[in-house]
Amino acid sequence: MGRIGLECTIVVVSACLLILDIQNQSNPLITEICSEVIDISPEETLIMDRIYSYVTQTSSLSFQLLTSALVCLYSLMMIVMLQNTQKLGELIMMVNHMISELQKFITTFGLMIIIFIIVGRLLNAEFKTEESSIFQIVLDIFDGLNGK
Amino acid sequence: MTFSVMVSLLVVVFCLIIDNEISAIADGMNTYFGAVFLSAKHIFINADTSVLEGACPGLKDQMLELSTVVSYFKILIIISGLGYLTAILQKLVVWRLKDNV
Repeated sequence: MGRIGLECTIVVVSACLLILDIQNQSNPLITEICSEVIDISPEETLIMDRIYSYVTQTSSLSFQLLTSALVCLYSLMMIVMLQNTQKLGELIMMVNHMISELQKFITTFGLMIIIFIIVGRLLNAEFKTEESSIFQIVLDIFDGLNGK
Repeated sequence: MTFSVMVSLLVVVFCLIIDNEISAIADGMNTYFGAVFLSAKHIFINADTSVLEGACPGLKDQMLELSTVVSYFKILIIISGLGYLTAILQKLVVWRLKDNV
């Protein structure tokens, strides 16, 4: 039922986009000003007027709004279709499991990682003036954490 | 199903290209006029001829390029919309006739 609703919405939004195209709106600001300095053929004028009207529309049913809606709807449709496949469903489950494991890791070691980064940056900015080996850097960070 | 996913992906890619083109137009004009071109139209209207001579050719090319992308996008939306309309009609027919032929 949800999928039919999604499909209906896509059809309606697509129809709105086509209605917007049929309305044949135009904004001649660019062509009127630019025709003073460059040559613009009548066909190009029509195209540019229409494209500029698309770009600068501020009405509730604008080209940008419809395009954004279509992106959201088609992305949802892709997710719905991909969830239907057994193989990809397992992959999605695996990714979910990996995300939960990563969250556990960050919850456990996140503060330590952040402190290492902050102390490392402080050491680099304030104290380090010559290049050192990685072992020496780790040792310095360890000393920094221990207040030496 | 794979075909539907590919079409959906193509639509999303086209939308991203359109967004990129519009951003390129806005960026290009901002370098000439130093303002948000799409909202500050008075700057463009009152621009000096020398500035227009620099800005207009690029603007024209970018707008024509955007128009080409938009025309392809519309064709894709029409075909895709017809496909979804057919799918809806098929589901309605199956539901009405209670027959999965």
